[in-house]
Amino acid sequence: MKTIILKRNGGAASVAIWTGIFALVILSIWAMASYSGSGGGGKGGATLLADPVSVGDWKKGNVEAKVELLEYGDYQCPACGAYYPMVEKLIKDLGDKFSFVYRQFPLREIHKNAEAAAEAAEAAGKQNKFWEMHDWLYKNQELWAETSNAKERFADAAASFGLDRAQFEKDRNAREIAAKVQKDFDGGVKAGINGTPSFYLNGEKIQNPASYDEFKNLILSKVPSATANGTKP
Amino acid sequence: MALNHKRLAITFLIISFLGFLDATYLAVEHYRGVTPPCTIVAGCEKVTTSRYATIFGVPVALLGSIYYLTIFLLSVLVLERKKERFLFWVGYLSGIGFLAALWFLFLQVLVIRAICLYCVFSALTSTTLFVLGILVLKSKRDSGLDGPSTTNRILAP
Repeated sequence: MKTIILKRNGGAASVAIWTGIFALVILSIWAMASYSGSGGGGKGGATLLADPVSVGDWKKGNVEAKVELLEYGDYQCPACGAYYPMVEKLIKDLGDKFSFVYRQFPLREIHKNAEAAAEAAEAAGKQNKFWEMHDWLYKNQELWAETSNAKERFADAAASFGLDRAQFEKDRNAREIAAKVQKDFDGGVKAGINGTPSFYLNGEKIQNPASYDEFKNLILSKVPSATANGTKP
Repeated sequence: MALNHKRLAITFLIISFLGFLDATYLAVEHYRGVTPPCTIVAGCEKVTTSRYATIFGVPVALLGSIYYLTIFLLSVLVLERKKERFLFWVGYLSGIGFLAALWFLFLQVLVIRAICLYCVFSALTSTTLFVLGILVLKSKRDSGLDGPSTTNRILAP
């Protein structure tokens, strides 16, 4: 389009205008591309974790490791469900190099069973089966996400991996469990996130990686020995 | 060119640019291949991953992006080449955009039952463009710029 105009018009001003327009369009596309994937639009705000990781947090992988990946997640969020296998694979492949921390960030306004799911995981944690419930919730997300008997299904699941069902039911209704979920949520809000999943690497918010390899390299880049070996991406 | 038309073209230019940014963002999200994050404020994951988000494999966000870009470039042509004819093209095009916006709003509210703020913003820009389009076509009819025609009467009653 630019060249056609040039031939017909030939004015220097015209060239300048169309070059400017062309540059503006390209720049906009680039800007939108870098804005995308910023993890729920929380990019403009704070990028640091507000509540430091403490003993009350759920951890897996090498809990002694210097590298720490933290996720604010919502069990009913499809994006968290999509990242779940990626995170699991990271733990399997690099589990000795980093610790994984999971915090609850149920988006109650848009996901009706998210809070009940978070409470189910925390209640299972009371009987030392937090990660079992965590896995079950993500693996079976479609099964319970929009159902009206989600709580029932959670209890069935709890029983299926050997939890005392009555105790589980009692725990998940306990004020203490609701308070834990709320504490996680408030910490996320304080950090400035408004969406899930939101990942923090060593306390700093990262853009949601587009692929497993990107994610893996990001973590490796924080591992001291890996950087020394030159495997930094 | 009538001052009125120049102002309209500038408004078209600004609104279509905003619409272009909005639609391009959603199109990029689509092609990034990552499930869009769930957010309280935007709530787009359900909408943009629904089967209505693509038409024959083409994301509607991309079509929207092309639509806004077309209006944007036509507006530049109007201002730069002083060709008012393009302004009328924009007027007709805005009608198509408005119909598309109505359809997508219907889908969100009644079929998908989830609202995506980026899509609502797009509906706002399309509607604004349509109102401007009516003004353009009305002024065309009033001034009888290129003589009476049937399309005139249909699109700008």
